[in-house]
Amino acid sequence: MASEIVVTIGKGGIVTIEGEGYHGPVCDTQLRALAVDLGDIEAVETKPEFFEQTRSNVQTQNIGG
Amino acid sequence: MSEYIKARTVFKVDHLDCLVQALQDINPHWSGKIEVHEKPVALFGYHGDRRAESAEIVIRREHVRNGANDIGFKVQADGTVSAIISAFDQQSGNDAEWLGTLSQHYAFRVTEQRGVAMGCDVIKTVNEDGTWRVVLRQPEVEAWQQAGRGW
Repeated sequence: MASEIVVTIGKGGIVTIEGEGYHGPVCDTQLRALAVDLGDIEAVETKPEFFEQTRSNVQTQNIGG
Repeated sequence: MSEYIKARTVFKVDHLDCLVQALQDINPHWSGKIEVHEKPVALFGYHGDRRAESAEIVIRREHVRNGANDIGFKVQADGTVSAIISAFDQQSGNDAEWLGTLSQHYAFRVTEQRGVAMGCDVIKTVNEDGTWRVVLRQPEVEAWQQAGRGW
């Protein structure tokens, strides 16, 4: 699946932004930069995948060590 | 995905070009008729009377409708941009709903601009409920890396 940023724009200018097709915090900087461009951030929800990536990194370090 | 962000659109001085595009999107008749000034200029009323307000972006009254006043967009000290619309013109159609529609178009233009700057394909679809779904799609990784970009 291709990596995408999906922006939903309501008639009143309420916007939701999320990344699809990747895991972890890699793209969050881009999402937040776009949100700041658009206006005022009202809410940020961290998805479970963020922590999945973190756990994966820790496991890799344990195996290698 | 890892984050889900909800934001409220605010017109900003950094994207005056997107605001002008959005105004033209909702009224193509305004194309080429919207004034953009580095410093605020006076707004005029329907009698040609100089009003107390000034603005950097101006749509002169003759382009709005008969009996209208100038519509302006004024840059604020914090970098946001506020609409200046007379009570008469708000009652004549340039109301909160109109500003909401303008915000939707502005948000699309800002999103589109950033997507293009990121080297993404920008795909817009209209949902049944009137919301717009805008996808910024990353190109193939190899082309992406050659362009020196990354997520």
